[in-house]
Amino acid sequence: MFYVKSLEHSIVLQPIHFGPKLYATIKRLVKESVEGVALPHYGYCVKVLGVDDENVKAGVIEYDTGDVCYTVQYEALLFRPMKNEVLDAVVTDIMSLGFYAAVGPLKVFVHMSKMPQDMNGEQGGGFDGNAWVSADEEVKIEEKCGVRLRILGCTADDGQFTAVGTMNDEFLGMIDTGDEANAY
Amino acid sequence: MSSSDPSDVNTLTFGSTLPSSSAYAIMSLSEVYLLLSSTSDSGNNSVLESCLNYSKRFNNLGNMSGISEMEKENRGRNIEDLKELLLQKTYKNKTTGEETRLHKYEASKFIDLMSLTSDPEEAVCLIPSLEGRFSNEDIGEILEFVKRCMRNFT
Repeated sequence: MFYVKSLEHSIVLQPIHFGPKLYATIKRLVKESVEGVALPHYGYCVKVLGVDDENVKAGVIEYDTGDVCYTVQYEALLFRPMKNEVLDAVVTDIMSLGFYAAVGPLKVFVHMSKMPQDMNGEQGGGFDGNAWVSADEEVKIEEKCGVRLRILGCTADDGQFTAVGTMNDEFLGMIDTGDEANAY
Repeated sequence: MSSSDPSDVNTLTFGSTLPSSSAYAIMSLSEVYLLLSSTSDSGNNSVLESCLNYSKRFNNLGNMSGISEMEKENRGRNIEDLKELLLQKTYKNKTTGEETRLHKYEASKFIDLMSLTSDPEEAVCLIPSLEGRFSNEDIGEILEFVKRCMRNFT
């Protein structure tokens, strides 16, 4: 889910940065610190939308170093996957146990047990080396395909989020082959 | 994300950092695409680039190639108007009889996931929080608003 929210971030500035370009420096450093980063509980910070001068609080001097700590409020576009959320994704890797799909920066793994039964081998179909194929061969999930899946769970490891999803539900599954769409 | 901050869209709970009283706006993919595509420089931000590519592929703004900036702005305004309509309109709660509105999450999912051939059954399957709150007729009406907007883009 993409959402816009106001967050706070602390920046420590050395005295060399003090001067007429102080606020510009603070805004630049806030953007560099948080953009593209996976923030715990908030998700990926996709873009800092705005930092107003009045949202930069008064700095606090650190007596031992002489540096100044500024707390800045900024508005950001964030992306956080939610449990049971239905999302469209692009297949990136096909494996014998399932496949990985990407939802923006998030990788979602769909295990073969979470695929429709006519595709995971239980009632025909299965993995043919490059793709997951349905029993009637009408549906072929390969790299760059678009799929609709539901998020079952999500974890954060090492500044990266990974999720597990399912396609074994009504109105989920392949949505396009990727040929006509702009692939990643 | 994990069990330490549980979220479940089926019950419209989004974790402790996004309580219902908190001020935040949920964006549809169309809005995200229009926002990110107006960014001149993504720098080294691979997250931004992947989100831009993702929203470009899966938005519901129709075919955006070769259209003028004015048409792009027009479609953006259409999506904003649609979202405002979806959030403002009130319906009678199917179970309690009280007035109810779409949650901002549900409104964004209607814009993202529904197509010109969607029906109320599909909407309830993909957005389970609708069940018990909205009747099939009300969901059909909401779908009609969304489809009317999409038809303008074709």
